[in-house]
Amino acid sequence: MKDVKYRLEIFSFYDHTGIVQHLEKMALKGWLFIGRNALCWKYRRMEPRQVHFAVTYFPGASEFDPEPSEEQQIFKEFCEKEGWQYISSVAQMQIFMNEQEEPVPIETDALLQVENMHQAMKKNYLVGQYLLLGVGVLQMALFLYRMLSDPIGLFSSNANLFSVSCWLVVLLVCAVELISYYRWRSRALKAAEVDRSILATRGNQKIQWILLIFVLAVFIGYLLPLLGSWESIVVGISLACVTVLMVLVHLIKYILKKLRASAVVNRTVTIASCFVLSFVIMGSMMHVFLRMAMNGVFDREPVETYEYNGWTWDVYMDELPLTLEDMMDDIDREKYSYQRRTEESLLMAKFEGSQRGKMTEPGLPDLKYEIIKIKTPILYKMCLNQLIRKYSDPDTMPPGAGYSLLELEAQNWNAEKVYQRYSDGIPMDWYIICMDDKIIDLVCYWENVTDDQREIMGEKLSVL
Amino acid sequence: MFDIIIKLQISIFDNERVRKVPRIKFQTLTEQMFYILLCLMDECCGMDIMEKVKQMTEERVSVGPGTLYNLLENFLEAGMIRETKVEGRKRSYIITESGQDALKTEYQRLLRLASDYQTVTGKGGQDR
Repeated sequence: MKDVKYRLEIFSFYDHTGIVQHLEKMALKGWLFIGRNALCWKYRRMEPRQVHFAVTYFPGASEFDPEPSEEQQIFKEFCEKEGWQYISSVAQMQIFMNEQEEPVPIETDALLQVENMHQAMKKNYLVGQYLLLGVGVLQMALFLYRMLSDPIGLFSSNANLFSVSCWLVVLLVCAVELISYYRWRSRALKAAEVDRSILATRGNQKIQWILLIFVLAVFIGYLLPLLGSWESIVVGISLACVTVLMVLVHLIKYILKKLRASAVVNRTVTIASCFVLSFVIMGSMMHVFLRMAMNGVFDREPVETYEYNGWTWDVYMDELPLTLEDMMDDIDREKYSYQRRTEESLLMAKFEGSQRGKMTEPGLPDLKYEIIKIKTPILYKMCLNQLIRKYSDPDTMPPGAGYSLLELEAQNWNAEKVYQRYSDGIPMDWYIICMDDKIIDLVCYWENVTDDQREIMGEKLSVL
Repeated sequence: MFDIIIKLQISIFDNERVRKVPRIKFQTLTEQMFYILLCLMDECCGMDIMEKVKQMTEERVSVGPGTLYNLLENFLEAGMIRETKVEGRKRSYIITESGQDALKTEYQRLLRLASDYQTVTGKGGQDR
């Protein structure tokens, strides 16, 4: 049987009542809290018994102190006089234990306790929460901007959805923590002023565990479909780099503590090294990925390649739901490259297909289409508006032309609605086809698209 | 170069400028404040005050070690007590004139309360 165990504990920094209750419950179950490391709290097996714990806040303490300061030592000796033994600390939070039956509490003045805690919270916890909240708000603002400008790109990527989920969780956790803390502080001050009573804290453990499990579930949901692909290797390497960065920064802090560097030196060097290492590690990682992408490491192997105008061109022979051969008789497959790309998330799937003639064979008809399958009806209008805006954007064509979208007869296309792009009143063969749960962005690079061809395109693309 | 880095004192995540001890108003003294100052009418080691208060009040009033530590710091900062001796980590204190004034003011306030109580209960209390 193990005599020592480690547990991941999630507590709000100000939730001294919750921490004490938990540690006393663990002691009654036969596990005594003896310390913590960066991730876990450590417990030692003992005979189950009643042990009292106390959490107090010492604003003068710092995570960067090489050893407890003189003032902290004096504080500890004060506590030891009443039987309170120091066990561990988390920055300004100090945890004590007492084996006496009814020990005198460490804090007996409610107002002093509340103000003391606030000084400790202001030192780094509140600052950190506000900063994270600010970054979370910024990320959500960027998400909203992207949702309005490029919902197709945003919602068709699981990576984007995972990133948004994480930042949403960060924003929620910070907001809940700050609101809970200030609510408790306001009520605690009133209670202290009215009858000098010490108000118990209530943390947000349940919410934090739920959000953590949610993030893990989203991460697994994001990672599972990628297994075996290059993207999963990229994700794995990225996680490894972040882990290495965190370990190195903590190691630097630990070494400086062992070397008895002052808190000021330790804090400065640790934060500076965090910046520098972030740039170096993440920068190197991105450089490697870019080089790999430029060397085609992430690309599929083409069926063949050919040279034209000093460039090497790839040829693919992917299966496509709609090809020119479906609509025309005299198409030579050897003169074409057939390429497909898919991207799918929980909310949307995007399929891109293109059949392009080789550059060495000018004048051939080409075909390109993007099928957006919308799994969440609420996003349909947003995606349609994006395509309409794209086709109304003069930047996509030579300057000076007047562009418009006109609605066509949809029956020919087996669709609900069809729009065609016009330039100065002249129809172009660029279409937006709206079906039940799909929007198709179709470009036909040949002249005089016939009604029969339209019907075939609508039929073939609707079944995907 | 290293000196410059040290002197920059990036304080975002560990704000040294935060007051180490919260400022408490001393217009009205709590029981704990009153008895601490009373103990320091004679020079006394900080740590011994807890026991002294218990004895003085027959264990009616207890001062927690954390509260005692913080109140001593507050009183020192407010000039109501002064340090007399430092022997290693043991520090002794004694009340100052300012502290004695605060104590006397509180005592007189309590006397007024007691007098008002006697006035009310002495005249009307027996009739009720």
